[in-house]
Amino acid sequence: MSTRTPIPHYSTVVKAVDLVKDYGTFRAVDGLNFELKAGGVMGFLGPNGAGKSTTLRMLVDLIRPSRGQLSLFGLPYRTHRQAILARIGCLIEKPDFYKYLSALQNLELLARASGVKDYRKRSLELMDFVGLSGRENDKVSSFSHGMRQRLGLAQCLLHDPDLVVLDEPGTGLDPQGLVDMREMIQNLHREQGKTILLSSHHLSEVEAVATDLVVVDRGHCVVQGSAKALLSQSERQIRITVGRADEALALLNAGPWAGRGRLNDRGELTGALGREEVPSAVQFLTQNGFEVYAIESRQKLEDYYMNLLNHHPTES
Amino acid sequence: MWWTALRNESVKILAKPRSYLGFLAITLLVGVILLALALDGKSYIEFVTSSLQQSLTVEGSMLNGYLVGFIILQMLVVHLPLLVALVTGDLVSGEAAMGTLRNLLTRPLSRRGLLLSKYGAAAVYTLVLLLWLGIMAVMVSPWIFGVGDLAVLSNEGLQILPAEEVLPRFLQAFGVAFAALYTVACLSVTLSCFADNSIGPIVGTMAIIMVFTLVGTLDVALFDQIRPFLFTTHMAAWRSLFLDPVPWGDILFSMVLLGAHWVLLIGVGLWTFERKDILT
Repeated sequence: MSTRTPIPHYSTVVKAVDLVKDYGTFRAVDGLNFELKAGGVMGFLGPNGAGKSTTLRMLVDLIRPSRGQLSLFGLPYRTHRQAILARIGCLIEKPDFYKYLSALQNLELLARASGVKDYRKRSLELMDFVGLSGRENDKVSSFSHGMRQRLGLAQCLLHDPDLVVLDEPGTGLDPQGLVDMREMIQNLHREQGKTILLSSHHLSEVEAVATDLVVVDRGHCVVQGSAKALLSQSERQIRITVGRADEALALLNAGPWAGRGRLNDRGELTGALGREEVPSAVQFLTQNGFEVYAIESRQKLEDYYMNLLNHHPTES
Repeated sequence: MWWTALRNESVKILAKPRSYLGFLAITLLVGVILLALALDGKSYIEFVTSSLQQSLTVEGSMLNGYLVGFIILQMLVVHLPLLVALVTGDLVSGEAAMGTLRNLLTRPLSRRGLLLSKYGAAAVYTLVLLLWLGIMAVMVSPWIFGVGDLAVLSNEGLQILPAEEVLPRFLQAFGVAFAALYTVACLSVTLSCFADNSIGPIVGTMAIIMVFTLVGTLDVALFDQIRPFLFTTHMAAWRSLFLDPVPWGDILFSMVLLGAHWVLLIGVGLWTFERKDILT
């Protein structure tokens, strides 16, 4: 394994204070503040263009902030770049490798660059961990996207980092691949005690593993907190399967639930209602001649996230 | 860590098919030259020395392995900058285009160390390419044509170097040619730091060489002041090693100027690379 510079004890792995990144006149990140505690799995969420990738690139020093402070493991990048990077493994956007080298050669090269002494042994261990045993000597150009994604996870673990930054690790994976990736992330967190920062549009995957959430929009932090606390505070989403859903929505909008319902992309009526409001809403619909076939009460990250971004638009 | 990074860069250069284009091109070009001179070398020598035939009588043949080696070196040193730039112009920008620069720059290695390892790898590649040319020019040619005194045409007329002096001069000439070619390599690596694709730095390097060469050859008073300071003016400084006496002062000036170019270009490269946002 790599030789590391000792650093002081830390409880906060990432601390961003008023982080700003400008590209010319365009401000991609605008005063972002957030913290990631040691041992957590943080879901880093936001719509396209929210500044997620720019922030993640700043975390691994691919991009330098225009303003603000960024410290990792209690150390500032300016003075401790190499000590910090020795403790971070990352998979940023898509996994890119030297296509003219084999999978093992790619890992060995990156392991050497990370200062890993027994680079062959470590590379083989990780090929096994990500389920690519037997493909060590195949050129990366022959790998499918899913296999490259697995190899991408392997390369970010080469130097046994304390913090693993994963940007869209599930992109392009088939359902089995998504399950495998989720299990590997859970293993990294539970078995190996790693702190994980996970950015993904697969909200169900984030929901399955995240202990904390940060939602960003237009370069700002919209909300941050424990996943459990945030989801329990939110209003319960009710999905009602009803005949003539569009007419039912119009009726609700004209009555006491104006503005609280919407039609989802399957034509179902959904809305954020308190538990005690559900019977009266159903009664209201049936009394007005609508047939209610099913009621589903959910409290999912997807609903929370959509509700949050629809009701907390940040100023531009 | 720098040596590890240099090793990694060398592994990549060795594995890239593009790296062997230069060796293939040199082998083919030298093969063509050797074949042409073996078939019709006498006519070529008569053509080159036609202006001297009134005042000079040559007994025996001027055509030997050393002369052929000199001709090869003269012809190919013009083409080598392109072959060098083809690989070195890709060292940073090629990685940016592939996305692999992300992987490298998130390792606990300083950006300065990584870029210096690329300049180091560019030096190794340039040296090996030049060595290959040397083997073809100075070892294969004498094997085919035999050895003898070397007749070199200069501004002072025809100079004859005794055979025993030729090999040491070839060695020194390769040293000076390396200094010139490494300047080209440094230029293309530096341009590579500004780009996210490999075509730009390669074309940019060749464009700069063409413009500087044009400025160096145009007989315009305006350019007289800058001409001595252009690296292209010193690209053929190696030829002076075959003059008698050797103009050591001129050669030293060329070496210092080329060295200054290395320092300047590497400095610009480091300054740019340290501040570059990696967006690919």
